[in-house]
Amino acid sequence: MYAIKSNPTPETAIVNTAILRLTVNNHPGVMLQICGLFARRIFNLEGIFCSAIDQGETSCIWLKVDETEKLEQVIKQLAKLEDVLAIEERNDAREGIAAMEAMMARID
Amino acid sequence: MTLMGLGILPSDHPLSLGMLGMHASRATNLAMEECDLLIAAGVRFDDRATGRISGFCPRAKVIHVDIDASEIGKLRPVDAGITGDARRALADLLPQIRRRDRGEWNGCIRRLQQDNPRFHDQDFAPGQPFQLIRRVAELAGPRALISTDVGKHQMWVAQAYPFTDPRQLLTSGGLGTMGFGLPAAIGAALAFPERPVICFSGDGSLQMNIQELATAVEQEVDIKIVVLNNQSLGLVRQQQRLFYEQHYFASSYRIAVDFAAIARGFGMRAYDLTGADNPDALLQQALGQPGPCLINVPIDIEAEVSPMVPPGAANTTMIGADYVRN
Repeated sequence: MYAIKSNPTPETAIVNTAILRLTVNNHPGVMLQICGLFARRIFNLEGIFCSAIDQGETSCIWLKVDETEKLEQVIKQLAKLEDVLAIEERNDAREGIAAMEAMMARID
Repeated sequence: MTLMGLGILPSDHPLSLGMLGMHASRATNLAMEECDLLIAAGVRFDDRATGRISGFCPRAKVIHVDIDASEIGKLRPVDAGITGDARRALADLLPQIRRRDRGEWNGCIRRLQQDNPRFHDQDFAPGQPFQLIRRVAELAGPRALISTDVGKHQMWVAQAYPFTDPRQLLTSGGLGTMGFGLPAAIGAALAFPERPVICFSGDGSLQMNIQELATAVEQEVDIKIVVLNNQSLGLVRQQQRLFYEQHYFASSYRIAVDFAAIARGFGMRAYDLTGADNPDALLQQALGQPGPCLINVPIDIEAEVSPMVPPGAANTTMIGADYVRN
């Protein structure tokens, strides 16, 4: 989000990013809390996708995080947020995230 | 002890190392340098406590106990991390350790303390900040709760007040919130109406929340506000003096605010020790009566907080009073 970097090659992008899946309460301001945490602590956030699940009670947030060294700290800090109900490290979902990124690039 | 931990051991306890960090006792920072095992309980390795973190306790293994999992290993890699309540963690660890004679290490610390005394006789000359703080402590008694604002007065209180109990000191620590002291004192007095409450403040800090004098009078809380008035934002001025070639900017007040008159304007009893024939008698009188009261104490603008670890330096680099005076 803050670091100025040259565009990474796809290989380094895979190595340096982690995929997190959060389950959060779905009410106004939750996204702000999460983004605010990233801004305050100077964690890099490369991608974010959010959608309501469970009839709108909760939301699922996919984060693409450009922090492998600080990942443990990122997860611990996210876990402290009242509205974050669960955090999973989902590096197995990279392909799905890549497909979603490609799809979003095509939307007019 | 960190600033926030003052009081967990009485300050005169033979095993108390005193406060570490930017305005520590010298012996404390030097002892930390020698330390081979650091048990850090409920602390977060704040830069005011550690100085340059790569130079902090360089020889020590670290056991870090904190209730917040994200603090473990955040700034200092740990050899063992324990997430949990500090009291319970230490109680659980206690049966697992053997009693050992630490005579050699304790002797080493005592020598450091003798070679680097915390106080000097001149610190307690009449009108000196330490003398005032100690005298207030005597008059207030060991049951007193102490709040501070942020600045020189806060560091002097941390260095010299004879704390005996945990949570006896209410100070804003890492938040560095000027204006914290007066409302904190009001809260303490409402929670413990039978205990004396002293708010040490400065002329800069008190102005941040001075409207709360109204609350103190309205609630008739038994608080005594001791304003160490050096007519400046003293710690800022000290930094400008030490590290910015005495380019003083926006750090002193050109007008002498009459805090006693302001307090009286709120309906509060007030004393001003400026030019008093017998300041000690006035202080006794001020502290001796129930109800809210403000005492303005003039402090030399040149009185500095020492020693001082320069920002970004290791804790063993301590600038002393002599350097300050040059």
